[in-house]
Amino acid sequence: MSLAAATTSVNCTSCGAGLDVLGGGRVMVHICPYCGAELDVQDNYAVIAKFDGLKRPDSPFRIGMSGKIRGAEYTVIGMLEFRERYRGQTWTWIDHQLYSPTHGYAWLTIEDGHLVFTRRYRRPVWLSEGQVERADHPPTITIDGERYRYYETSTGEITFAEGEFTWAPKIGDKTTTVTVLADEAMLGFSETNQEREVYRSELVDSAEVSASFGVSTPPVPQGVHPMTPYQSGGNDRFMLITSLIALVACIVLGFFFDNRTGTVVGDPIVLETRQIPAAVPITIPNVTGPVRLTFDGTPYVTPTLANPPSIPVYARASIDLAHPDGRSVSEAPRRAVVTVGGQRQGAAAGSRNHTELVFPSAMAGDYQLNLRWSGQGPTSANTLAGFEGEITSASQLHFAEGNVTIRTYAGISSGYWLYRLAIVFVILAIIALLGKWNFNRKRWSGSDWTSED
Amino acid sequence: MNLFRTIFLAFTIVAVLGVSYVAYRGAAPDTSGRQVSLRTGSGGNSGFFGFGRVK
Repeated sequence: MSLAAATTSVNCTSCGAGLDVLGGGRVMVHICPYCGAELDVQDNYAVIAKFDGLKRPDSPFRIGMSGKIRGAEYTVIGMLEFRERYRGQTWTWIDHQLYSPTHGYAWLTIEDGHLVFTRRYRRPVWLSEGQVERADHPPTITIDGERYRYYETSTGEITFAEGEFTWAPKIGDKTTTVTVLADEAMLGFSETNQEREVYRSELVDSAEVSASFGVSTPPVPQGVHPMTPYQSGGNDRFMLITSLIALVACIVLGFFFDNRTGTVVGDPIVLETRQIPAAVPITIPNVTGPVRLTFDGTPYVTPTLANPPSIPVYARASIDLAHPDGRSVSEAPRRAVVTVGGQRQGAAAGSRNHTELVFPSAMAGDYQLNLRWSGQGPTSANTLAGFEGEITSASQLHFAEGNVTIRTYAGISSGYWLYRLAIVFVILAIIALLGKWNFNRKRWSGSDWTSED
Repeated sequence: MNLFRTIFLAFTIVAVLGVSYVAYRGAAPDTSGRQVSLRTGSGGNSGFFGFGRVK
């Protein structure tokens, strides 16, 4: 830091204090920091107003300090304090008028410890307070490749002024500014009684700029400023992509394992319906993973006797699991049934013709399957007694010639837990997306836009 | 690669491989413990989405 070199000075025409002249050729007024007199630079520093009893705001930047911002050398030439009151709340901020012999005039503002660098924006763009009030949705502006959306309208009142300015500020002057926000910049459309100006603001590194200006106690940024760039370090993107890849892997592997339905162990047991009721001994092999016992009833049998039924008939066989000595297995399901018949000729077997019992590996051993008839239909086509005596009609033969095939499968996989894991990765992907969403929510939390639905 | 990414990637790989092994072993709610479970339908393993078929 340094006080600007090669300064000239004048004496205040009101109090006689020496005033450094730092501000270049477009300065219009110089407000004496000692007596508060506003001096007309264009008219031999004649007093045009006097601001008594002002309390200097606390700012680490003082008039005369020089430093670099965005590679250009600037000097603080003036300081303004603004205050805004709205619905019982009060906000204050400090604007520092800057001057660079090569880059002209600019502003450095302290907002909640953040440093905001502002320059005039000379593009044909404007957004008025009236336009905002008439809009149904937040107005947007796209210019220079950036899309800005309405943020707020504020009316600030000058409560303190000292130093050199390119206009003539007055204590109590009010400026209304409509602000629109892009990712890392703001446009401010300021309107006073006399003129309109457009400004473009960006955040600058508080520590770096403060160090450049020689500020010993730099302002400490508090919270998320609307222009704070999103800095996840790419972790959220990494998390999102990794989660999506893992999600796809889980689903693909889940499909793969779900289709690994095992291989048949031993010979299938074919039980003719004429043999039912029957007790069939089976052995569940002691293998890694579950064992699947399938029951497939013949879906359709072509009638060969006279008076065949007009519709497909069916019968259901109940399946009970017992120990070899006949004791019922308490861990077995109670309502297992398989249907024989019931399907139209040529049609694929329906779901009722297929039933499975799944044994966890801990249930390996010898068992006995008890199959007995538990129902038939339609009622007019046959009777249960027909299976136990002489077959007299085609409707009985229709499934009396069918059978139930029992197969044992081992080497079974299941995609169940992979699908559950896929849900976890969906949640992680959502969390990754929420990171930026939550950051933007904080950025926009200060917006005064309300939808009037 | 920073620590977060390393840990997250390790978690992802271990989770997918570990659960794949569990899936290979055929573990599911109806194949755990000591209960014989009943499945009806068109057959197969009847996984999370009901896929699978009778072989």
